[in-house]
Amino acid sequence: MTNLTRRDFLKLSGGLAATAAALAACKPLGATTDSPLPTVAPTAAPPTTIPAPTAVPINEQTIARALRRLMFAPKAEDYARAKQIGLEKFVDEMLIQPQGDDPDVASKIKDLTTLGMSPSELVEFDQDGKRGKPGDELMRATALRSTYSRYQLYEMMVDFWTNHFNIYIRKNLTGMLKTADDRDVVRKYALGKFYDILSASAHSPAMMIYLDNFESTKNKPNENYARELLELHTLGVDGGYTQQDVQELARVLTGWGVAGRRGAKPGEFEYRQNIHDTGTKTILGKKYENNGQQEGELVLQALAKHRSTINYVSKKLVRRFVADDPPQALIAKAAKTFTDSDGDIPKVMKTLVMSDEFRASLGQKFKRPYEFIISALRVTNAQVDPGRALNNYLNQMGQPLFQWGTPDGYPDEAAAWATTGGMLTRWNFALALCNNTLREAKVDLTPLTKDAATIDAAIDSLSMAFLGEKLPNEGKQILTKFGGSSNVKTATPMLAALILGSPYFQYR
Amino acid sequence: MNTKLSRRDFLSTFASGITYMGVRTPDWYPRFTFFAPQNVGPRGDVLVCIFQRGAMDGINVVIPYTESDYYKARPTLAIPEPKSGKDNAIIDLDGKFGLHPSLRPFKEIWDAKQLAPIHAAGSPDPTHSHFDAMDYMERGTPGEKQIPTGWLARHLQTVAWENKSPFRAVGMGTLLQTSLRGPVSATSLQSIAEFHLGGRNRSDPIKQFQSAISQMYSGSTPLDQSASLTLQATDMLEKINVGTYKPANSAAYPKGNFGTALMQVAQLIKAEVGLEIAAVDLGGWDTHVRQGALEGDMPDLLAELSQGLAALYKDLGEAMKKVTIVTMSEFGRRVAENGGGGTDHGHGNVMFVMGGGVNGGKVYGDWPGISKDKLDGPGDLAITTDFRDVLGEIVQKRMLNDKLSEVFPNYSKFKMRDVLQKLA
Repeated sequence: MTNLTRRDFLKLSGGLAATAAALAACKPLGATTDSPLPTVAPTAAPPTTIPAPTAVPINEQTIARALRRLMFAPKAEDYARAKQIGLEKFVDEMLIQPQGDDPDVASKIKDLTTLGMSPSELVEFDQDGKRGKPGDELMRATALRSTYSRYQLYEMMVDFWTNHFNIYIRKNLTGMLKTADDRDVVRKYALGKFYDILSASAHSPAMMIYLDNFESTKNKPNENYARELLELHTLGVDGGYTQQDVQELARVLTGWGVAGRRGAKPGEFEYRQNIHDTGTKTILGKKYENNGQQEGELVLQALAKHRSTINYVSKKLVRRFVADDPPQALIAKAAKTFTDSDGDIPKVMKTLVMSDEFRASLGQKFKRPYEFIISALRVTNAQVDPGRALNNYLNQMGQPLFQWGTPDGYPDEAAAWATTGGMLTRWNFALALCNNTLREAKVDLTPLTKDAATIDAAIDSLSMAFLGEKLPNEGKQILTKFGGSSNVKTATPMLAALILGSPYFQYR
Repeated sequence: MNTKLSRRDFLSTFASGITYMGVRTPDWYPRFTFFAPQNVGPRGDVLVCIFQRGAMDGINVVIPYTESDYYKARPTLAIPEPKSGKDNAIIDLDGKFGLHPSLRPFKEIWDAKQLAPIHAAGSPDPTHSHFDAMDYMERGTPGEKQIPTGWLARHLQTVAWENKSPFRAVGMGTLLQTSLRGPVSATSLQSIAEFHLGGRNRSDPIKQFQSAISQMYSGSTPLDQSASLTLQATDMLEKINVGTYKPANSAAYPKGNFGTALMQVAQLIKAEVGLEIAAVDLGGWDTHVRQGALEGDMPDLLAELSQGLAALYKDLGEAMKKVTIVTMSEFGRRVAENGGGGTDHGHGNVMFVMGGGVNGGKVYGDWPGISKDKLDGPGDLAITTDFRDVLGEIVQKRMLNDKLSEVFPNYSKFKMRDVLQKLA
């Protein structure tokens, strides 16, 4: 009888402990309320997901939880080092832009030859049977980097900017050119200055094609990129611009595009003066006289330091690293650092991470599917050979790499992801991974519980490895009952799958 | 197959284990049920809510071909007038408007008076942002960002009956549509055939795993509710043999996610698992470049849309009497085409309503015209019908919910156009 409803379960279960466990259910670690996900009321203001910041101390537990928030998943050595040198120094180390790949990752991706290719070389794959190669290699490299790189916060930031400057790789040449965008825009400046990544994105051939700017001409300007540059990359939709500003910016950006097939360097960014609108334009009240490509460069500089941009980007960072409903006070603090440091992203991140609001929010941010999958692969020390099968799991949960069609990037709130189909796939993935039935990831879980003499000890060991802390009692009792009298080695895969499928592991 | 089978007939038939009127019951009918039928009188239609993401170019869908401005504004995108009589010409509807030729499958439904376009409809908020506009439309609250729930979720919350089925509201696809987000949990479903835990036939360890999981998610948070719904849905689908589904009346769904989603909606409707609302998306309408007049991205999408909905219509047969289908898109597109053979973001658009309760065969709406002086903002079709007028009429007349002020808060000026008959 597996179709027990909750009420049936309560009626049937004889053991007091089990009943208590069921009644208590399992709150995510760190939750101070019963409702870590936004509670939805018919006509209420958006709910606050985290309590008002109280002085949550920095201790071993908060350090472990901070690491789970900032990395796809910390490993034993990360917990150890952070506890040794303290959270602040550990964060400082993680906020340094790495020079090249982690050596372990470099050896795994060395055969992916398209990763280093120039746009001209990449567009040569635009032939039958070859188009998919750069995109496939990029997806593979991205999953390997997320899983194996020691630069875990950097990889999280790469994921953030990948979404902020989202490019869909199923739109003609973007499938090839995204490789250059990933390398020369996102990875190059992920822990740099905001202006640099914004400007690099505006000169990215993949972006020019994705948002149609390469076809925008003085006679028939195309508004697509101009609009999203204002709405999504800089000011935000409530940032104070008008439809007129969009149209004027589209005129400024006429001529920004990509060199065609007959050019010397097809596929590279190219400015074409002959299709540029040479008239005077006015954007956000400022006049731009005829000045060729330089007009666009000046607008980008103005946008990067505009008050609305600073607030908008700060808010997105707070949403990504603190809470679905970003606390206003923390946005203000982040925005101040943004202003004072001229858009220095590591400094803004440091402000976030060292805030009271950050510590008060730990353990309550619902993992997106990609974070769930990568964190499960990391904590189980899986040997990963990422390809279509893994991406198919992501696809079933709605987050395949580089395949969000619209320029706003994947949603960053629990309500979008905590769905029935999504939960089912998480459980099925946990089962398949721990029972070693995945084609593209193999695990050996025996070392994790080899020193455990009892089921209880095994649960503790797995929990320490997966979460950096032991399960709370109500969760542990359910697993203890599940383990019953079986021996540790036999029970390990299913216990591991249960922890990965539990509410605790769905949050960071 | 007899699709007139009411839910009560269905339950009594299976309780006694006999075939109904000599028709052998299909394998995918549920063998028993996990939610008690509620004794609340007749329920409303099943609503199939289609969202065309990216902003469909309504001007090239239901085409005002008698306006010379149409041909002036669209040197490469205009469709030939109906009088040419060719296959690539507009399909005339009423001497003033006509369908894009890729919508040919709609013609039969129009002729049967079960299809009604409402033109120059949309959301009154002037935003040209896809994301704001989609949110406003799916929440049913233009210009208002403080209401986080969807209009369909509020309908489910306020309608007079309860329904404990995990398939009461289903969002087809991987992410749950904003329209369905709210206090009444909805199921997101990609594939009925693959919706099971740990393989189709559950082993004992999987059953124990499921039991432990259900205990861990037995609280009352939205995640707990979503998890419980998931487990109930897998239990119920285990009882449906989905491998053998064959659409009725030789209905042919188009290949791809949209056609597959609609076929699964038909499956859920026929299996009588308690479905009241299905939300289905069709994306790709943001045609800034190379939109295509008769061939290309947009004609392909129109073919997919009309073939899909016509297949659903055909497959459901008599059951369409209690099904309403509505289409919408966040806004329309600029009347004049741009330099890339496409169109930029606009305002007014066309909606379709289809079903047994539709007063079809007529183009609804006050047509504002597309001459320069009639356009809105940067050159857009003006809006003369608020999308909430169309949805509100469906909610009231076909979904039997009078609480329009809760489904569409802050809106009271409903202008019902009698697009639909009141469900008796």
